[in-house]
Amino acid sequence: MDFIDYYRVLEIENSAKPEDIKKAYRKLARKYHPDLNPNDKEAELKFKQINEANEVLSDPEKRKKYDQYGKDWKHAEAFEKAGRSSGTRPSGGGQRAYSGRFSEEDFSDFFSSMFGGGSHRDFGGQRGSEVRYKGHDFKAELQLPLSAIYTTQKHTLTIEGKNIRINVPAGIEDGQTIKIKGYGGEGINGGPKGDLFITFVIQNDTRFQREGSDLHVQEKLDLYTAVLGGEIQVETFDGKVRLKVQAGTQNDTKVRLKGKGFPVYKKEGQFGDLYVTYKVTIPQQLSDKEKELFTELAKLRSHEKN
Amino acid sequence: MKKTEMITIQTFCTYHGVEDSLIYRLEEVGLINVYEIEEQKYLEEDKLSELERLVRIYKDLGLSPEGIDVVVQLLEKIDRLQQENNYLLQKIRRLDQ
Repeated sequence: MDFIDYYRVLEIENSAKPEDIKKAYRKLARKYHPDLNPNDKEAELKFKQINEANEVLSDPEKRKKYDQYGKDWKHAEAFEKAGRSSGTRPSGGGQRAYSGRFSEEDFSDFFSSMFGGGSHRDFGGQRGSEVRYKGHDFKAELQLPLSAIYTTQKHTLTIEGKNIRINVPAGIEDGQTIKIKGYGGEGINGGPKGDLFITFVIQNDTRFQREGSDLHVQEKLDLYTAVLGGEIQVETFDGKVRLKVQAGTQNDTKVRLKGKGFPVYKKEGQFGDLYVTYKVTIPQQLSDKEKELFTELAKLRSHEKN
Repeated sequence: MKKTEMITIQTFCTYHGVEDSLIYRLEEVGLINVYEIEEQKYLEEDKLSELERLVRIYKDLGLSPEGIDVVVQLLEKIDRLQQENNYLLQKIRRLDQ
């Protein structure tokens, strides 16, 4: 557990006046407010830190204790015992102007060890005893390999000890979030349950590159087929297909296989395209006979040019 | 819309400690919908998370409903740009290979 310099967190001098603290806190809280920085974990952490710093520095009693013991906070209790005659007790003070979505569990270990378990403030607003209210939304992340989302599949998630079976539609995007209604926290006073938001992280376990619903792949093409034309076998996501290669095919030629790409999200039966890029391979370690024949070919070419 | 899937404005405002005029102002700028059933004003339960977000922005950041509307539009724009950015990154990664 490290010492936290709350003055540095709020970017103020140790001699800052209460109004400077309030001003600095409000400015930083506006910058890092979680509603303005969705899915930004760094901003969320920063917001927690500035809330904690404000909790201490805006409360004269807490600030006094913090200033007094500072880096020696580990010995604060011993100091307290020694000077018990002063008999001050931390009050509930402090002005938390921002609700965010935080509870006192979000305070650092440093804060808890110095001031105990937070100041029991209700950050969510007033709790009307008979008011029905919607429960909290839950967030979860589901990692799936690309090959698993080629078809619609059922997956079982464990959220808060409960198993939830969900249908993952084919073609879901990396980073996409879906909402499962009513699978969040319990409602208050019989209010509706919150919702569950699942964000998908798709890892590519295939040799295909995905671009929306289109797929891209590179295929080796031997020199002779590239020059003379012929037929090759290409592996697509759902099996092999035979492709005709035109005579004189250049390296990096791209061909499109319509409908052989990835499924389009929530459009059953619709698929993107597969783009195959030919990579012509040049033979190496030629035998004497091959060298002779290639030289012959080269000569023929140069005669044609002249 | 069924009444069972709605919550009265009064209930919402009591819980959050806000004036009902805020709800009507948010409706005025087009951020939320208010429904009237048997002379009682309701909000959709389904949209409560979103409304709570608007109330947090209002209370925490001290913005007017018009200001909140601008923030919401900018956040939507950021979201669209992030999606576009992800798509372009995918494309660059593919070209790099």
